[in-house]
Amino acid sequence: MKSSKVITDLVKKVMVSRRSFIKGALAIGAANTVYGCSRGEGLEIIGGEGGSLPGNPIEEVDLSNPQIYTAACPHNCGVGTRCVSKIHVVNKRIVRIGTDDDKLDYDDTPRDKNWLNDSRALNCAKGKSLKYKAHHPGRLKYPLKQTKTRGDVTGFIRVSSQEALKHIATKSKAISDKYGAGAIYNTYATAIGYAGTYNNMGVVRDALTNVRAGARNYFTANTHSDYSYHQYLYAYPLTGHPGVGYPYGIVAPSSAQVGGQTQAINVDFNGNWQADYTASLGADYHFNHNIGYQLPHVAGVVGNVVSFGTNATSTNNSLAWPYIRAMEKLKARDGKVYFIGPELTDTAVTCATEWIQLRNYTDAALIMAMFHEMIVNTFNENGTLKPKAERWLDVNYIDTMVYGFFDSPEYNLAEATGIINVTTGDALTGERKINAVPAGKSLSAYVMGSDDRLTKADYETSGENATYTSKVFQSQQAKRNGATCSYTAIKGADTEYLYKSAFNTAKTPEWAEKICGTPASKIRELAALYCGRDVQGAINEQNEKPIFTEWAGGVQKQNNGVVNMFAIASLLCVTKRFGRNGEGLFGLWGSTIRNRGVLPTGNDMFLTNTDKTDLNAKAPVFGVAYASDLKKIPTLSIKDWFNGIKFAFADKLKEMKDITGNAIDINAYIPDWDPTIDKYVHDDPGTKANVVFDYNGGTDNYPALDGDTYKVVEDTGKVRVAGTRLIINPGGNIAVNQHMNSNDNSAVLRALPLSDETAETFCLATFDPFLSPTAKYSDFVFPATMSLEAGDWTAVGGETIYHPPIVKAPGETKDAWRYTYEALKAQKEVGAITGIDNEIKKFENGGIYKSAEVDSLKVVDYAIKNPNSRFFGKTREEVYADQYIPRKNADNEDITLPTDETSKALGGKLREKLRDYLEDSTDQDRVDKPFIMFRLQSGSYTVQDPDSTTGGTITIDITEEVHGLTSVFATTRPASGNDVADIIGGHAKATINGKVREARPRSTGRFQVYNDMMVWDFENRNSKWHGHLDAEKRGQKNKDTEGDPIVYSIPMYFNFEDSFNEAYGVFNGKTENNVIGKNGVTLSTTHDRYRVHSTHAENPLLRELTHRTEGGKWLSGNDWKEYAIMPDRHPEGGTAPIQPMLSSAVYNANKETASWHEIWISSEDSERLQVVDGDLVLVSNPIGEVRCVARVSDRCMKGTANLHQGSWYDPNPIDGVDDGGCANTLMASKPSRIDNGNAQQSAYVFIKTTTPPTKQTK
Amino acid sequence: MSKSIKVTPTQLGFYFDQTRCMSCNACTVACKDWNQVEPGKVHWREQFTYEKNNKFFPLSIGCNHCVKPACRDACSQGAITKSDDGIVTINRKQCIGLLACADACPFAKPKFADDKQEPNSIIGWQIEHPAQKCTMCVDRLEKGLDPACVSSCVGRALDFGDMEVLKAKYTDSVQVSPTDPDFEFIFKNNKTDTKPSLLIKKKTAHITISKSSTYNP
Repeated sequence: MKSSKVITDLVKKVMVSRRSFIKGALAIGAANTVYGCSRGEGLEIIGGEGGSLPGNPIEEVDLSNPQIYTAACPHNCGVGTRCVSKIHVVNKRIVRIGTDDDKLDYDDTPRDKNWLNDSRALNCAKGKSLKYKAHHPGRLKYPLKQTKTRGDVTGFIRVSSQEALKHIATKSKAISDKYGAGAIYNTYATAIGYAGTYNNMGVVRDALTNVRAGARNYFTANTHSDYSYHQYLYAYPLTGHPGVGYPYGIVAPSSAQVGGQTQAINVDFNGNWQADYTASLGADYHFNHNIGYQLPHVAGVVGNVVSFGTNATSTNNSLAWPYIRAMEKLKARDGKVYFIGPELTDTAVTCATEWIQLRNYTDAALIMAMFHEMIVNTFNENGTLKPKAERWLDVNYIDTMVYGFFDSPEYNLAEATGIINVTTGDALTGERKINAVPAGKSLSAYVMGSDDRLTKADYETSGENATYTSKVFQSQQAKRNGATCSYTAIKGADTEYLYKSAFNTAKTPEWAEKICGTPASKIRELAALYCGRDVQGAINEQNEKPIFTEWAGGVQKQNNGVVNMFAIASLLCVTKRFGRNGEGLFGLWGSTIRNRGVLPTGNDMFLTNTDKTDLNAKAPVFGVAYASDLKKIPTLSIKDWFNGIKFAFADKLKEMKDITGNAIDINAYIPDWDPTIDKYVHDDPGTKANVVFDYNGGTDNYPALDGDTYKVVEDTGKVRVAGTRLIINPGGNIAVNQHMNSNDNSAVLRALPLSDETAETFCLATFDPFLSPTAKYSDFVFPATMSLEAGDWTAVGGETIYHPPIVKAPGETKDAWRYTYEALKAQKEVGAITGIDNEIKKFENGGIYKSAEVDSLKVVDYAIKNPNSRFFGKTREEVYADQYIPRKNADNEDITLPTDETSKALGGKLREKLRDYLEDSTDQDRVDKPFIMFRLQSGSYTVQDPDSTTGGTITIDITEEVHGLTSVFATTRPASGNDVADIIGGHAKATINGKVREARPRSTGRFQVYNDMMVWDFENRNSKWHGHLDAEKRGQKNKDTEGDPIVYSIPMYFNFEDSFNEAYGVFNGKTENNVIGKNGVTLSTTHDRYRVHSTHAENPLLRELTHRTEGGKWLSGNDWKEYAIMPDRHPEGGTAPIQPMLSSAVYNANKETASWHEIWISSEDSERLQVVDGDLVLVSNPIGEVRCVARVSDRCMKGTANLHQGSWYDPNPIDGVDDGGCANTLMASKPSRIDNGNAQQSAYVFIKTTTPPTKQTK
Repeated sequence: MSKSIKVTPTQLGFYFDQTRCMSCNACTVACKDWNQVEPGKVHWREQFTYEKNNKFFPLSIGCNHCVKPACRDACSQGAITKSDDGIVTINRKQCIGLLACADACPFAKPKFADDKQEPNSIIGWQIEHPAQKCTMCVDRLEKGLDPACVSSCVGRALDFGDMEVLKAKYTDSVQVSPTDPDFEFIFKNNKTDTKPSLLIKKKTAHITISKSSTYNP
């Protein structure tokens, strides 16, 4: 019962209150009230009411009769099919957002969304809450220019867009003239891919940069990969497992199937990517490796699911229903869904049958222990094999197909036949030299540590345990492993690294339990599962069926994420888990939804005719003409743009200050960086390469392996550093918020002088609807339309839908078309660019570049007048409302696909061929004949002569049929200039500046759980561009602080403690503050459902689902009308204290409504940390500090915490603590191992209760 | 209010599948969106995953339009009525804010906004923030549509209709009752048996948690 006081208070309120009653009207929208806008004399707001007309009263009756626009959800989750949105608009305001709720499909067949085969994509909370984004009172209204210091909102003045664009165009020209295109970074941004088809601010960016020189682009030839999948893209080809990716060194097609991103893994030491030779396994790759297409197999044929941390249903909403129903069907067939990870995700709560707890960052240790269990159940202690029916591993298969699980001798492989030649030294024509896996260096040797059973295990030469491979190996090396684990630490027992101390330890399940927190018994069960056995080790029918193994983004966004993925893929290789439907390693990579339903046929059903076809020519595209220059810019890791700033402007960064004005100790805070000595961070090979080259002639300063020559440009004896000097940010939040170490990001931007029009200052320009943290730290901010404010075409599962501008954007907000036009005019003003007049003319007087709505209206009107169209005779408004066609369910009611066990893809063919070879051939046949994974189809091939120094060719005739796959290369083989060796990757031995470089190791044509190509690539990455450095500084140093390797050939477990001691500067002596073992927790920073990265962080209807007040319960947060509201701007030179209403300012204004982001903490840690649910906590580590509200939950494993990524960085000016709860405030700059990527889910943090600082009065 | 539903059931109600809910809150956002409930503490429908003894119970719940609505019986002003279709409605103009409904409802579903969430009152209201709750989207029902929460449910965990039809359709569901220990999260306020019109397919197969007993991070 409520207390009587509550009731009394309420009655009092009734008595006194008679205010603001509106006659018969509802108050609609967020725009009615703008908090804290005391518009004094001379002040002018820079942000304010959101889109459309503010405060239009909406009559209740209007709600029931809105104008409806059908559209794809304005928010595109990035992968998969967009969901369906029906936007209800009254008086130019969005009042509701519905979804596909028709109960009949297009031919009036009844359908029910609760039917298993229902195909519709229902929009989620993000799509439904967009009216609060569109009409948000914090929308930017005018272009802004920073006049004080970046990040100081009081320094923004209103400028015209022409003035601002001209500044940027001038600067862009100055930079590209002096420093080349590589100094301009076209960052990628969620708003590009997630916006519409035509209204895409990326086009504006290109008009400002690529139109002249072809700036360094995200996703294309000069930057590897992306923030989301950086480590995955390096990791998936490492083993060559066909259910994971194509083999390392076999290059994927450069087509749209895998995008430019594939180059990430194919970079050779030149930083270039190799030519594309074959679709091979890559052709199946995109189709096969996404979750969406495999779900019918999960429903129908898969035996069990093993998921490393997935939250697929939350991350990709349109995938959710197909996922849930598939798991239902699997479980009905007695399949298990194992979820492995530190945090029980929403997906796991719904779908998993078992949560196997695993501490974050320790996946590789779990898998090593699984291998240990498999080995001891295959080999007796004396090295003999257990009887065939009892052994867990198929040793004949491993010998034939898996390189590096056991030690093996050096040999020469005949590429056409698979014949192994161990009797001669150098490789003959048509042969490739395969490196030895030296004694004690194989994966099994590492796993077994000092256990010596494999050093007693014979490579057999005849009988059921012999194969061609084992027979040949035996002639050189009698035993499977030449020694017990022979990895050593230079400092021996004195090493500080935990992982080195474990080299000689047997990686038993008990060893792993101490690391992973996973019960040893459960590790044994998982090992048995992958070997098709039950807990007792007996063959089990269910477990023999395909295993659907799933990875999540978080597994590969850690310090050792590449290694984690390599380990998981190795598990699948060793246990022969490939080539069957539903079997492989799948993720949200390229998840295209299969169950889209069926659309009617006939163009008369759609808005489509020749007019619409012409639209394709009307989106301007820039940069193509300059593509030939791109190969002359070194290829960088995605995150190198930031190191590039430090490289270019190190001299300006010696005296940085933090947000509270205190000096930063440069020596300590980025442990691998000293701006006075090494201007590049972490020996970053991409940054080191980013100097200016004269590639138009001159003397050969140093030769490059591909025959090109490059001369470095010098100024007074020093190389001219390009670095990163200009970033055009089209609607993203990377520069401050979404790149690791937000404190550092913002400190650097504060420290650098503001942009002038020369090439010697840095400039960041942002197009965005909101003053996001990155916009706030920009030199220029341009208010940009949201997708509903410009006419555009978007697609719902193949059905393209046009929406006109639905609401009016606020103030001087412009769409991409208008900004592009202005940008080109600015380019023209600042200097002649060939051809630009023609480009500009295309925007004018009916030219082909039109705002999308112009020609789209023609399409609409054409349909209205076309008697054959279903839109005939309708009004435009009726067309907008009726476009979406409720589709027919395509799946059968059972939702499973009729499936063969074996996949139709190449992996399936390989599996069949292997089965024939291993099981159906006689023992003698198997011993006499080799098996080769790839070989050329019979025929005659002209290839480069590997021994020729002048590019000579030789002819290889392939006539002999051997075991293995055929037709792999033949169909896509280019006409000339081909080297068989290059197909699998590799280079000849070469000399650079007098230093002989060893030949790059060769791919073996087998699955590789030992990959020395990867190590070679690491050590030589970008070295082509390093001629300006002393020989020992070229490439990438593969030595840690103790002189041992950083990158090894096998997926060993690197203790996370070591990574943090490196990242925080303990191991290199920058600090003695060893944080490990001091009551901290390891932190994950997964996506949650209510933002996508940092998009939607400002949306109040989503914000209240992730934020809580101090001590408040679920849904207690309510800083609507306060959060993300922008203050009044000052006339130039104004001094009144104002700040944007982010979290800390909201707190100062109204403590009762201020809210903080949740951090999930294990209920098992609650007592240890003395934190209870609802406590305001300080989360800190040597990198930064954030304030959050604790959510204490059984869904978090002991010793771990989870702060969902993407909240907006908001350092409190009083104490510097981030009240916004941005996860990257806690992330070190240390790149991930092997790929030099972003390890943004790696932090060791301390959590304790706290109170916010009191506002200081000045 | 008029309640002319095309079919004439005696009691409309909701069905919730605890095994399918993926905690996405599409239902709660759709509810606020359709019913013009602004951001803030009042949610007519709430979705949360409750925890007990290492078991996890997703729940999405609005007003249960009880057969014997305690809120109606508690309201001295006669502001709460039950229609022939079984829909329980608050006439906000009759509410004087005694909170008796909110106390009586076992599920604490009648809600009261604050000034920020409900900045403008409507002529005829006697207090600034009269009680409000789920109307079962009667305006949608009149158009032949399902309630917003049901239409929006991505995981196909929610359904709606005549209770007898729902019972026949979902034979593995049970009607929510205060004596069922699995439903203690639902009965936030008290355990009055109001015969709530809510069927739940229970989550019976709970996730097994494998954790190390010796692990000390």
